[in-house]
Amino acid sequence: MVFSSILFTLFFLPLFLIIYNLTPKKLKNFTFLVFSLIFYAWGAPVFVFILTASTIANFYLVQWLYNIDEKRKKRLVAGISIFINLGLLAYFKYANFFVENVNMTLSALGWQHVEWTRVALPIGISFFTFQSLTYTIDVYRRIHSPLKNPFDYLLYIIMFPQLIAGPIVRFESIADQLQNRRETNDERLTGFYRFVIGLAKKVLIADVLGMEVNRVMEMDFHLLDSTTAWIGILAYTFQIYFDFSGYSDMAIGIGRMVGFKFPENFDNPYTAKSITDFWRRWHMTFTTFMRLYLYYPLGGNRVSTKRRLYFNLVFVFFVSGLWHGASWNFILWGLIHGLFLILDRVFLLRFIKKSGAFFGWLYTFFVVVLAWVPFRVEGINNSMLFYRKMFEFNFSSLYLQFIQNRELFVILVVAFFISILTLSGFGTKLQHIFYKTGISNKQHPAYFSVALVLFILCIATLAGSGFSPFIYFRF
Amino acid sequence: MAALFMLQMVQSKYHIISITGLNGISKEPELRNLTFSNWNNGSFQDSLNAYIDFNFGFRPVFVRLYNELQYDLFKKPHGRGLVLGKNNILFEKWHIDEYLGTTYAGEDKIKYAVKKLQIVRSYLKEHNTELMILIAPGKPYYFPEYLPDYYQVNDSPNNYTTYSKYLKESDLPVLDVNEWFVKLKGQIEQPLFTQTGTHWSEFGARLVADSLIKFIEGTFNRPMNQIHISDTEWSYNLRKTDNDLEKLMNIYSKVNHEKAAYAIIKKDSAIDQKDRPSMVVIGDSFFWNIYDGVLSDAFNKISYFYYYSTIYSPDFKSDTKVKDICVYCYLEKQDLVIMLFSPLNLGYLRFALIDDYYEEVKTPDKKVMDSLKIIYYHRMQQSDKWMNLIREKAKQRNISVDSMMWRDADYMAKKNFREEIN
Repeated sequence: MVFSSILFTLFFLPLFLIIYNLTPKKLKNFTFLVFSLIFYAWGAPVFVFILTASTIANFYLVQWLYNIDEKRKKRLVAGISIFINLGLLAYFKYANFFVENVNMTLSALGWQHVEWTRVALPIGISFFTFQSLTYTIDVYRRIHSPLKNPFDYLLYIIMFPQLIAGPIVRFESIADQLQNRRETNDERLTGFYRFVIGLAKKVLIADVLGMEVNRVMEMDFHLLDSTTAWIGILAYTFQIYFDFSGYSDMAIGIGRMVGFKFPENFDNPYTAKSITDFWRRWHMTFTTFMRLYLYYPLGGNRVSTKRRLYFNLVFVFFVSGLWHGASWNFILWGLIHGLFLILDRVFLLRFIKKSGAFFGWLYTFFVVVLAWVPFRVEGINNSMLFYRKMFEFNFSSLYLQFIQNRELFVILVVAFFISILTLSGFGTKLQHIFYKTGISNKQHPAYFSVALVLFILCIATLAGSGFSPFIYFRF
Repeated sequence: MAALFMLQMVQSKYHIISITGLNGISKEPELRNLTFSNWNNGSFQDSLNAYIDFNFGFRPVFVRLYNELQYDLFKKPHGRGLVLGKNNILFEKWHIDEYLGTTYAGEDKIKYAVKKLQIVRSYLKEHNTELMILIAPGKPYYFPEYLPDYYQVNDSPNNYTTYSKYLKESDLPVLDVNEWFVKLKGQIEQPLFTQTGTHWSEFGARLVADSLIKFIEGTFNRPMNQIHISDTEWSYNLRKTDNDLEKLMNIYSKVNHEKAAYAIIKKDSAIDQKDRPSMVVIGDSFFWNIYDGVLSDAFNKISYFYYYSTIYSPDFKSDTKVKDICVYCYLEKQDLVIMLFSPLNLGYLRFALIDDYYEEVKTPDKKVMDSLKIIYYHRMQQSDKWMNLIREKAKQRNISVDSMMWRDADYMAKKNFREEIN
């Protein structure tokens, strides 16, 4: 079930909110859990059982872990828990990729292939696996005590607002809210405004750009001209941002409506003035996870040699690329970013400081856009072909494409300006207005009116974009 | 949000607030039963999603709002295949594709189709039934100057130019209204296409009805009751199909358009009903605005084989399909058969009537066909290569080798027979 659907926005979510708010406090978590299970089972009817069973098993494993005093045994049990979580991820997400590569190697050697039935990828597995890991590790490190109730733990893992696309909520940041959270009308309304902002980003911007991206990516790249290639990748640059950050906004908004405060996930990443800066702004909960649970354990910045530091960076971004998808394209994307992070440390940050903020922003935006190519285009060869087409500098079809699809160009420009808005002081103030919390009673009517108008526009877009009637019967 | 939920639930169930429905044809999704199997394979979820998208309360309001914004902000008309040209002229994308030659069938196929139609005409003439072709006009031919600039017009051949050429070279009687309308444009005040309709205008249709009667009289030497256009009424309120494309847009505002002309008709009725010819029209939707009574005094009976699929006729029950009747048995009893298609649908000339000709008319008696099949069956048994092919096909279709052999024998017998005819 997707958030940006009539089913979710006009049926599932309102029904959930009505029932949740009518439920006595003691049973609210249970209500939330039931709806989350229905939400997950909607898209993964079989895997929901595997998820539930492994989550319950992990709960008891971590409970046992917490009560162990002996360090070696404690580490072993933590290791088992991490192994189970990563094992499930490895099997469901990476087994196909692993076998494909083994078979490619066997083919090259002239040997027989390994027989393998492809495994289906359960939705959200990358996100809830990481959340599960934070639970194990935060309890192991004694940052927080474990939950007492397995259903509360199941709720933490499976709660529907952030189950599919994050933000990755570390256990430590949410543990107390599971038992004790503040639900006020002000929070409910603020949550609703945030949800609507996210929905608008997804439906009014990301989905419109997505149609053009799909059209370009389905073309034979040999027939692409530079105009089409650049339009395609720029559209994708903004599609992925508005889609992903829109989903995060919706998750944060829904969480707020039921008293949870989820962490922020994006901070205007396309205003970044270096790749280092970009990764402080893009998918922040993911970078925090990688920093705390992979980079720091590897030694982080506090290693004795530069070579080890660069290795840590490359390794973390290799894993980051792999986390995003089981293919060499995603690994390439991760490695491009890893490379530029190294270059930042070697000389780029100093160079940017001397060259000025505008240059820093321009170069960062350019590198990020180029890095999206292997992320979106399937196959390394196709990615290289796409790059070639981008730099053939054949823009003769620009005017024709503009007059054929004015909406796309308008949305592209709007998306661009929204993305870089906070480069100006005015933009930053505007963002504070839109994302304000602690709204006064006097201000709520204005906020509510704007949110309602946006909400209606989103519903109209969902309803209208799917309606394409024939003029007459043709049979 | 809860209030919105309750309101739209009540509206979708009880339709408390009266809302005009949406124009155009779209199929209501079927809701699958909630069973374990349907849940497991996701078909229930998909069907519920589609069902809710189609039926939620106030849906027409939201759709119209979206379409209106798209049109006002981006000049983008919503409706399957709609294209907004210059001067607010609406086109359908597939008519433009045909005009540009994107869907060109190729000269050989068209030439072959015309030859076969001549065979069909000869057969029908033996039964005193005349066959003629009427090429309805295509809007891009009439308004090429208003096509959007992003359509690059060139000299590539298209279906219309090739069909027109070969039909005129044949002995088939052809009334090329497409060519006629283009010549007439600018010579008469009344528009033959409206800005917002996909078919000939109501005035254009009346003109065609008048011309058709005269053509039949002249070509087949058959006296007919005439229709006369005695006057023209002008109106901004478009009628019938004159704004069918605008209706498909489903917007609140009106597209700016010029006045349309409506013919005031007088009909003769000197010739008695029993002496008037009966007619079958095999055609696309262009015939609808002639099939509304304007020809009722010229013919004693009109049957309409809509897209050679659904039959509208006093001789058949409603919903009768062409595939359920003996087409030639029926046509042989009529005086005139008209194949009426716009350039977009000229492809129907390649199969409408022709496939049935070979099935109904030219299939020899059962004894002959059975003998031919046995001959082919024995030939298969004597060829290893053929048998290998048969075994492979049988495996793919999951049928016995023997069944596959008889299937192939049947096909070969019919093919052999058709080649003889050609």
